Formats: sequence, C-alpha cells, structure tokens
Amino acid sequence: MNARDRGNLRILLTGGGTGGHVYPLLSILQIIRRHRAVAEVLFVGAKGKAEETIVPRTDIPLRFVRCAPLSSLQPWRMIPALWQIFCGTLQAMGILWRFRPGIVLAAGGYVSAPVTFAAFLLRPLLGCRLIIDEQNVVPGLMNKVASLFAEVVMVSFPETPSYIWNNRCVYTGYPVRPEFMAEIDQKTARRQLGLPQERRVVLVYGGSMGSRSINRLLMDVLPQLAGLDVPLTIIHSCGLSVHGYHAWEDTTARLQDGRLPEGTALQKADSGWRAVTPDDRIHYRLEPYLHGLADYLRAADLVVCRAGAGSLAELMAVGRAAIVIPKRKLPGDHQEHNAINLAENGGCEVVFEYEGVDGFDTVDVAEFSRLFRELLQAPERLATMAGRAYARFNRKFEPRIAGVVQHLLNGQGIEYESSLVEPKRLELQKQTDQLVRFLLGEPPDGLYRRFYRIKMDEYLRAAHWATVNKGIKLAGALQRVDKIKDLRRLFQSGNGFMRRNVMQALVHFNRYHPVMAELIMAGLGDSYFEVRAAALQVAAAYADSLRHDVPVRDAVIARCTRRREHFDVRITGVRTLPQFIDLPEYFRIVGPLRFARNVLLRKAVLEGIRAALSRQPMSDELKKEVRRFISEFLVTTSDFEPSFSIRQSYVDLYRHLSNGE
Amino acid sequence: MIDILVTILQESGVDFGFFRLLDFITFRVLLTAMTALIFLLIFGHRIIVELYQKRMRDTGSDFAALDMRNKRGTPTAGGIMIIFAVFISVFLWGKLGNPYLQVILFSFLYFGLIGWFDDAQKVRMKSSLFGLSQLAKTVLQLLFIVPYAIWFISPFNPVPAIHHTEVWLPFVKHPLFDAGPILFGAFIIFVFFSILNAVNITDGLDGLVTGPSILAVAAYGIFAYILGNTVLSGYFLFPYFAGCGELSVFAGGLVGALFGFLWYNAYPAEVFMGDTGSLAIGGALAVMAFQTRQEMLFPLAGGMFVVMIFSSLVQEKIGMRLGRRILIRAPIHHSLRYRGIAEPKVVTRLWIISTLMMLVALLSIKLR
Repeated sequence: MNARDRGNLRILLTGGGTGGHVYPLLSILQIIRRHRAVAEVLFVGAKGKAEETIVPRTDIPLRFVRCAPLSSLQPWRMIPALWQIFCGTLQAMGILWRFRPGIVLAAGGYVSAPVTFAAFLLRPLLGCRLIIDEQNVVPGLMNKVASLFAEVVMVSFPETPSYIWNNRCVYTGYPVRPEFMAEIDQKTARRQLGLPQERRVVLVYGGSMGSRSINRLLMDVLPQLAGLDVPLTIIHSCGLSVHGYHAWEDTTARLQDGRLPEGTALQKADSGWRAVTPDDRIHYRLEPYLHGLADYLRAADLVVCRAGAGSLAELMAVGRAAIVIPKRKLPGDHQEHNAINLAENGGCEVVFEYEGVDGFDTVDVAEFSRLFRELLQAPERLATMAGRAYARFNRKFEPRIAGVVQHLLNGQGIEYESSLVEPKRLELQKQTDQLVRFLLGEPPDGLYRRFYRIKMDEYLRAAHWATVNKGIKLAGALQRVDKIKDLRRLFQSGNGFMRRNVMQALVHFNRYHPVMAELIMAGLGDSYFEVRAAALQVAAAYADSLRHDVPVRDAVIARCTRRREHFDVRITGVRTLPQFIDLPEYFRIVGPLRFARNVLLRKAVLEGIRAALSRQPMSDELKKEVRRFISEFLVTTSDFEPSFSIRQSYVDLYRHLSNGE
Repeated sequence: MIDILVTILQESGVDFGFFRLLDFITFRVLLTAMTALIFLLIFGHRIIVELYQKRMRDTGSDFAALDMRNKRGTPTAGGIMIIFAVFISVFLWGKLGNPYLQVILFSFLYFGLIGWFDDAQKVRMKSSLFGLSQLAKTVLQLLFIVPYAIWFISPFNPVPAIHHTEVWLPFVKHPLFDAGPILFGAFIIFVFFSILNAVNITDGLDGLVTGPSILAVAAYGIFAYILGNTVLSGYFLFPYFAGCGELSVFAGGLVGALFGFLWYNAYPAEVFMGDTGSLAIGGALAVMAFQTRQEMLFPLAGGMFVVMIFSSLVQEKIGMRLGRRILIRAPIHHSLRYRGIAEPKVVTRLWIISTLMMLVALLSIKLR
C-alpha cells in the first residue's frame, strides 16, 4: 500500500508546548484540506501542554508521547532528558507504524523531537515526508536539529533560512487565519464594530491568556494621558484568567483603584467595562476577550501587543502600526528577535520588558508613555509604519504551502530558497566581543542598545560567573558609568576573567570617574597578567586625568621596568608610559628594550615615541635626542604582514565592478 | 594489487627475476611513497580546483569581504587528497589480504569520513563554530574506537596473543606488566581518543600538522618494519609480529602523500587539510601505535601533538576552573603567533622541535 496515494492522504501533526506551535499547524492543515482530500489526521503532543486543551476543540484525535526539554547543556542533566526522548521515540515509532502517515508536519517545541526522529528512522519503511514549520525569526534548537531530517522547512521570515542547519528551506510566510486576509478597510471595520470614525483607536491586547505587564502598563499609562490633544478610543483586551495570573480580576481591581482621570464615569457594560473622561477625550473599553480580533485590528490606528510569531503575523497581515512588547525569558529570546526584526524593517516600535522589583516583568512606563504620545500625535508616522508592516508580510502563503505539499507528494522537485537573506546581525549572539564592538557603534537609543541594557542587568545578577562576565562586557559596551560601583564589587570578588573584563569595560566608558584611579591601582598590582595589561590600557585611556596622579604613574613605570614581567603587560606598559613621563626619562627606562628578543616589544617602544612626539611640539634638541636613541635599534623581525597580491588584484577588480552600480 | 597480478602471472608460467623485488618490503615502501607523491604532484592541483568549485572553502566565501592579508576562502577538506593518494598507492603495492593493512586502511577511511562530514557542515554553516557538535563527533569517533578496542584484545588481532594486553614503555626492554583485558581496553579507548584529537587540535597553521605527521608516521613505519622482520626484531630484542611489515608500506604511502600535500599546503597554503585530513591521520597514527605496541612512544614520536593537546587542555580545563588564562593563547602555536613570530617561522620551529623528539623516539630502538 502506498501511503501517499491520491485522496488517501494521512497527515500526522506534531509540535506544541504553547499555542504558538499548535495554531499554525491547524492553519496549515486547513490549507491542505482546501486543496486536496485528507483521509485522516492525528495530532501527537505532550501531556499537560497547550495542545491538550486546544486540539480536543477540533475533530482531530490526539495522542501523547514522552518527551523532555534539552535546555541544559550539562551532560549529566541531559541524560534523563535523553532517556525520555528515547522512550518517546519508541512510542512515536509505534504510533507512526500503525498510523502510516504520508506527511509528518512538525512545528517545533520539544515534543516534536521524538516524532521527527522516529519519522526519520521509519522513513525507509513508511515513505513518509517530513515537513517542518518554523514561525519565529530565530528557530528553536529542536527545529534546527530536526531540519537535518526534514525534506522541507517552511519559514515565516526571509531571514530564517540563515539559522537553519540545512538548505532545504522555503519561505512560505506565516499561515494566518483567513479572516485576517480579507481586504476590508478601516472605515468599514469601524462601522461594523460601531466605533467612531474620527477618533484615534488604540487596540491593546496580550493574547488570550492576557499579559500581566501589558495590562499593568496600560493601567499606569492611563492617568498620564489626560493632556493628549487627540480624541482617543482605547480598546483593551486583558485576557482570561489562568492559574497564576488572574488577568481580568487584577485589571478591573486596578481600574477601579482610581487609575482614570478625575471625574471619569466608569460603568459596567456587556461583558466588560467602559469609561469616558469628562472632557470626552478618552474613551476606554475593557474586555476580557475580543471575538473577531481581525476586525478590531483593522479598526485600530495603533496596536500594543506581544511579539509572538502569530501576533506579529496577524499584525502584518492587516498592516497596522504597533508598539510591540516582547515577552521576556522565552527560549532563545525569540519574541525579542521577532520584534527587533520587524522594527529594523520599520514595521513597529519596540519597548522591552525588564524584571521589576516585585519579580514580575514590567515595562518602563515613562519610556512607553513618551513613545505612545509621540506616535498618536504623528499620524503620518503611523501610516508609514503600517505600510511597512503590511509590505513585510508574505500574502501568498496559501499557494506556497499547498504547492510545497503537492510537490512533495508528487515527488516533484521543490524550489528551495537559494539565496540567503542575511539577518542584520547573525553573529551577534555567538560572541560577546563582537557584540561589544557592534554596540559601541550603535546610536545611544538604538534598538539593540535598549535590548542589551535589559540583558545586561539580567546577566550581572546571574549565578554563573561566565554569564556575569557577559554582563560586565555589556556594561562596558553600553558605557554605563553608573554601574562602576557594581564593577568595583565584581572586580574585588571575581576571578581573573572578570577582573580583566572589568578593566576592559572601563576603557570603553570614555568618561573619567574617580573610582577608576583606585581600580587601576588594584589592577596594576593584580596577580593575573591580563588584568595588569588591561589596567595599563585604562591608564592610557584616561591619561589626561591621571597624569599628575603620582602613585598611578609610579605603578605604570614599575610594570615596564620589572624583570620577568609578562611580555603582554610590558608591551602595553611601554606604549602607555610616554603619556605619563617626559621622553628623556622614557629613553632611560626603555633603553635596554631596543634589543629585546620580542619584536612586539621593540615595536611598542617606537610606537610610544611616535605617539609622544605627535602630542608635543618638536624642538631641535628633542629631535636630536630621539635620533640618537633610535640610531641604535634592532630592526630585525620575526613577524611580517603578508599581502597576497592575487587577492589584491581580485579585490581591485571586484570593487571596480561594484562602483559602476 | 600488483602482488596478486604477479602471482597470477607466475602461476600461468610467466616469471621475471625482478618480480622477486616485490618480496622486499623496503622496495614496496619506497615505491608506495613515490606513487603517492607523484600522484599528488600531478593531480593535486586538479583536486584543489575541484574542492574550490564544490564550495569546500574555508569560512567566508564572500568575495566582497576578500582580504589580501588573510587566507579566508582557501579550499579546505584537502585531506581528501591525502586519502586518495594513500589508497591508490597502497592498493597498488600493498598486500591487501594482510589484516594489519586492512584495519589501518579502514580506520584511515572512517575517520576521514567523519572529518569530511564535519568540514561539509562547517562550510554549509559558513562558520567554524558550527561543525558537527562536540558530542556528535565524540559519538562517531567512539563508534570506531570501542569496537577496535574489543577487537584488539580478542583473538582476531594479528598481534600475537600474549602481547595483547601487555604494557610496554619505551626504553624498557621487557613489558612492565599485563593489564588484563578490561583495564587495557579502557586504556586503548582513552589513548586512541587522545591521539585522534591531538592531531585534530594541532591543525591550525599552514603545514603544522603535515610536518610532525610525516615524522611520526615515519617513526612508526620504522618500528613496524623492525617488528615485522624476523632478523631485525631478534637483533633489537623486539617480539616478532608476523605481517606487521605491511604497516610500513602504509606508512610509506602516507609519508609520500603528506609530502605531496605539503607541496600545496606549505605557507601560504593553497589548500587546508581540514578535519578530513587531521582526523584521518590521527586515526592512522593511533592504529599504527597500537598495532606495533608502541603506543607509549607517542609522546615522543608524535610529541608535538601531545604538547598541543596538553596546552589546550590546561588552558581550557584548569584555566576555566581558575577563571584565568594560563597561557596567553592555546594551543601553543597560537601563543607563539601572538608573541609576534610569523606563521612560517612558528611552523618551522615546531618542525625542528618535532624532529628532535622523533630522534629521541628512534633512540629507543637501540637504547633499551
């Protein structure tokens, strides 16, 4: 029996953990069903996750397998998880063997691991095809691994293929529900919903479960909106109550707690609350849940929402301006990445969450409220933003998805994405040093700086020293002089790497702070050579402020003259020293280094003199003295800079070609 | 292959005097080396071009980012050249029925394949950070090493059974003690794994693996020749391993191929061997060390590799525990580069040191 016979298609869906993995699967299934007959469908999920509540609402049977997240990278903690996955794979193999699907459709989430692996193992026998759907910009680990086994990876963003470990990606776009695709304009939508045409409509929602930080943020922003000169209608869907956070109760309690401007009439209406300020400027409407979100989106001028792949796709499909508040601490920071991706393309503004004092994620009210007011008073900005978001969405997802499935089943070739759209900063996540260099070149209020400012606080509070280290480097990159007391504490308690990084962070500050002299002295006397070298760099960076600080000057001299000092420290010291003392004295100290075995040390002497000369006017006497000093100088070398001439010619030609464009 | 041909000819009555030359291992060793070397001198460039066109390039194949000062975009996975050359020459001149030769050829090919996958993965990910994961690599390596260890202590090993689990030290005439199968099996796994990764980690500068590998392979080839020769093994008071001499034929082929590779790999390199080459060489060296029962000689014969892996381990394991660097950079060759010694000079100096260590290793033939 050929499982892929026409009209006898059996589809196995897997993935889950959150609704974000389940809904796109159901959408894709709808699309396939619209284009061809599907005989049977089965959903394989994990117990106790979102799929357990969502899938039974459809007519799809649901089966469970064992699985576990592989979040920890420590091997001994991975062993039980691997055992679970192994058991799950056996279970999944049993399910696959009996169900005999033609297509296995996986949407990520760790439950898909055993199923995709089982599908891979049984593929020679069953002939099933494995399709992976990745909704986020930056794919999760599971999908990256699973992509190695898959025939096709369907992605929702053009940048995603660069992160996927195979080159069988197809940019299909996110399969939003059909109601988001209907071309209805704002006026019609407002008429249908009974909303006024001339007011500015803001839609605030945090998903069906509600979002604590968005709800509380809005409650805090409401009283500050009094002075706004545009008539405003705010529709707020706060979400249903779930265990842990009772969105509805929490929000209504805060609402009644006098959050609204003086004299506002607050009344219960239908399922929610309504409020109108006395000057009729602000209409506020609170609902636990909005039916027909698509229409509300169309009616809105500005949307405040989460940055899940689904929310963003719906936003882009309708094409509305938005302030996006990505949820913190999700695997791989994927909401942040989704938001940054859209914001880089001008499709939204992002305000990041941070961990508040009460332990809950919060948003900076001042920052949000400033942005909110700015946007509401600039309709043309809202319009361009909406246009860019709209342009960013792939509206042809339905024919593409159907095409991929059709081609796979017919055994035809699929047109994989051949050219990669490089995300702006693919490398950033991997190496902190690269990140530091990048951040230093960013504008002070840039997207990445704001994102990493929050990350930095998180890192500095971390338990493991390697993570704290990242925080220290970021503090330098973000030039947080206000963190210098924290850095001093970390310098006193940290290990060698941390002490070194504190020193290197100080170099980036570009602003002298009195604590630095103390830190430099401690660094110059440190037992670890890299700290001493870095301390010398700090001394060089702030030489103007430190020149008359005698202890620092003496310590720098001591670093250069001490025998058996590490060559790296001496090199930095020799380069730094002329900033602290006069050249004749410098010559006396570094005289013997003219014949040093280490070529870099000799080079440093020359560089030091050169830098000193460019800082001061050259008298004839000084020139003579310098000439005398360098007349005896060993210039043999053990190092050279290669220059590969053919590459030079190639680059010349290539650049010439590029100039013509 | 040629020996089968000659046997067929002899059986059908055709015989020439010079056929008897084939009985001399030394003759075949030299011819294998020459075949491999000449093969690479003739076909090497074509293989490099082929690799280049197949996009097997070191990270960064973007031409706009091409820099005249570095070597990014150089074809990698050049180990495939070495593997081709060795296989062709050994197929021609080796006695393929010999179990020593079979196991080493298999090891050479298997680890070459792992390396090939790793290189292909790195090229595809456009980054050296994204090869096969350390875990995947380890598992794939152990998939060979563990069965090898079991085979080694089993009766199928061509090494005489009494010598299977003895512990030998260089410069000591007699085996120290018999470790027993379980302990010695674990020892094999550990040492094999270490040798393999030591060679892999050394690969960092142009010609840095090639030189010390030539010396180590040659040293083990000499040992294999002595052990496989009744007269010489008796003279130097070594045990006699019948058939072990075929290993020196392989060693000859590998030395020839490495010289042929060095032709292109010498600074500035036209091709890198990649993990394909370094893992294959590591696999071959480890098998040679064990089959000649001279694994304890490796710290001398392949001293450079041991220094590299130790410096790297010290830096990573101890350094990370202490929270500071122990060496300024690890492995040592990066340290030397950092000190301002140019790449060809570092490589030459490390070759000189490896030669010194290899000479000490050869001293252990007589000095026992």
